Amino acid sequence: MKLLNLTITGFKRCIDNFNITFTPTANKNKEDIEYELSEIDDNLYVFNTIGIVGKNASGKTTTIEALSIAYDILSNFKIKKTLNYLRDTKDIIIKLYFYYNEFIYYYKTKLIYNKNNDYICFKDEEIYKAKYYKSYANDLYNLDRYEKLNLEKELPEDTSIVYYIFKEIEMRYFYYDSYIENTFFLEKITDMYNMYNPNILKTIIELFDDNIMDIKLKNKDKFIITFKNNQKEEKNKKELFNILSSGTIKGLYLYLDVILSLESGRDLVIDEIEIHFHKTLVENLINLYKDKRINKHHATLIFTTHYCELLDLFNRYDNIYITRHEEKISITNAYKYNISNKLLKSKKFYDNAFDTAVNYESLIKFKKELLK
Amino acid sequence: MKYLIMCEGTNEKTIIELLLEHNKLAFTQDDLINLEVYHARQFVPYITSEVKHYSGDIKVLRIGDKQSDILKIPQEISHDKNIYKCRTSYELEILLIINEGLFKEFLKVKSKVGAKDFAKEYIKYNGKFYDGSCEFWQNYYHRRINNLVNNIKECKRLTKLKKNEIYLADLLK
Repeated sequence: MKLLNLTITGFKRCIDNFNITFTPTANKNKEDIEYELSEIDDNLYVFNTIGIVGKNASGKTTTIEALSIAYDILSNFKIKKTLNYLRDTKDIIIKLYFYYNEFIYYYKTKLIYNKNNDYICFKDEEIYKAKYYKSYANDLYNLDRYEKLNLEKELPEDTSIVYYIFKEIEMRYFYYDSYIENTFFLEKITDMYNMYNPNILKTIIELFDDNIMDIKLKNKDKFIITFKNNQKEEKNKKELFNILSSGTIKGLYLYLDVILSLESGRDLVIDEIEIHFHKTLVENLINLYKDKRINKHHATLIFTTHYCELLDLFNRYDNIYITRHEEKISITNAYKYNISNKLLKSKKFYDNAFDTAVNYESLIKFKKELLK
Repeated sequence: MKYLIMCEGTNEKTIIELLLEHNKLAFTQDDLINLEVYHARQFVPYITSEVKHYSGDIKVLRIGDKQSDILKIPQEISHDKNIYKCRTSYELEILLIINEGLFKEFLKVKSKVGAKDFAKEYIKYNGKFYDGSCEFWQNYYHRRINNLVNNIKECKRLTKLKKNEIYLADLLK
């Protein structure tokens, strides 16, 4: 399954028809096909990476939340994780296009909060379906070719008819949350250790903490840590959590999500990718998604950032989105700014080409107050 | 010191990867920036960032037949980079033509027909005519790697280079 396009109306402070697409709008050159795009079907390309930038409080996290709703529906057929965002809002209309097993689906629904039961109901749902052909690649979202599915809903009102497409609940994306619970983290490490080559764990640890040479799982509850001086110590799960630095825990946690995402082809969503990590590590992580030898199953990394230099890693503009908060939150594809390709993207951001620069007067006002 | 290998086309990339896989080059995959053979005529952000992450010297090898465009090195990585162009002479298909013993035939028509078109007309492997695909190169040489090595050496004998260029054969062990 691959999410291709999301449009949401009535969500938080977003403008109507708040839209984000995973498919290219600009021309594709050879290098882009090699490093920026993944071909999920004949001539059907999606972005390997999508960057969302904007000032503070411009709506970057809101965009991630909107995407989480879409992924939640496609994974659980219910609104679970994202419920908190929706309790205080009025009706929301959500429209999704997604690719699944050689077909493109268009799904439309109204989301209504049911106070009595504290859940979100799906109303006025419709699903359309079209077999994908190469000739459709440049006109993917033309509904004329789609056929409406006549589904008689025999599901609870808090369950989406998307269920009839996938039939099984499955996490179809990963969301990296820097708030990490002790037990969840250790379970993940254990799973990782059992599922994959243990050397992967060793190499990740080396990236974040060069005092630790290796961590081996001894049994269900015990780990053996080898330190740089070859000293070995046996630790239980709680002790292991306490011995690792906060940065190492976050790094391990994130990289494990990255591995799972790359192995399965499921998208990974990260809010504020630059937080907690060295810039080189973040760049490396973004590049993993551009490397087709590693990203074999077309996973997309979607991230928000304040760090505009990260966008210099992008060869295109249409996989960069800029959020702005004026009366409402809007999102614009950087491709629409139609600006010269000669300068670095980060330079353009600092030159305020996208109206994203921090207000200089506000900075000075703050400084003046400190000087009083 | 690491090598940055930038191939003009996917077929050049396939050839270099075949030679690497069979350990026929003077360097190994470990000697490559990001352990990778790139398909790119110019630096793209993905390559630039990988180059930036490596602080040592880098030898850039451009593999391709035309290379009429000058390689532009991004400012942020322009310090201390030794750049060598590596030219594969005529079109890459000349290797197939040499292997099939058709070089003399090709010389007779080369003013009218390019090596690629010549190969498409005359060269067949496992019942399939040459179609310009990577798969054809892979199938044609992967069990006959020594033929590839010999063809590359023969190509060196038959072609002349411009200044600052080296032969693909010079990258062999």
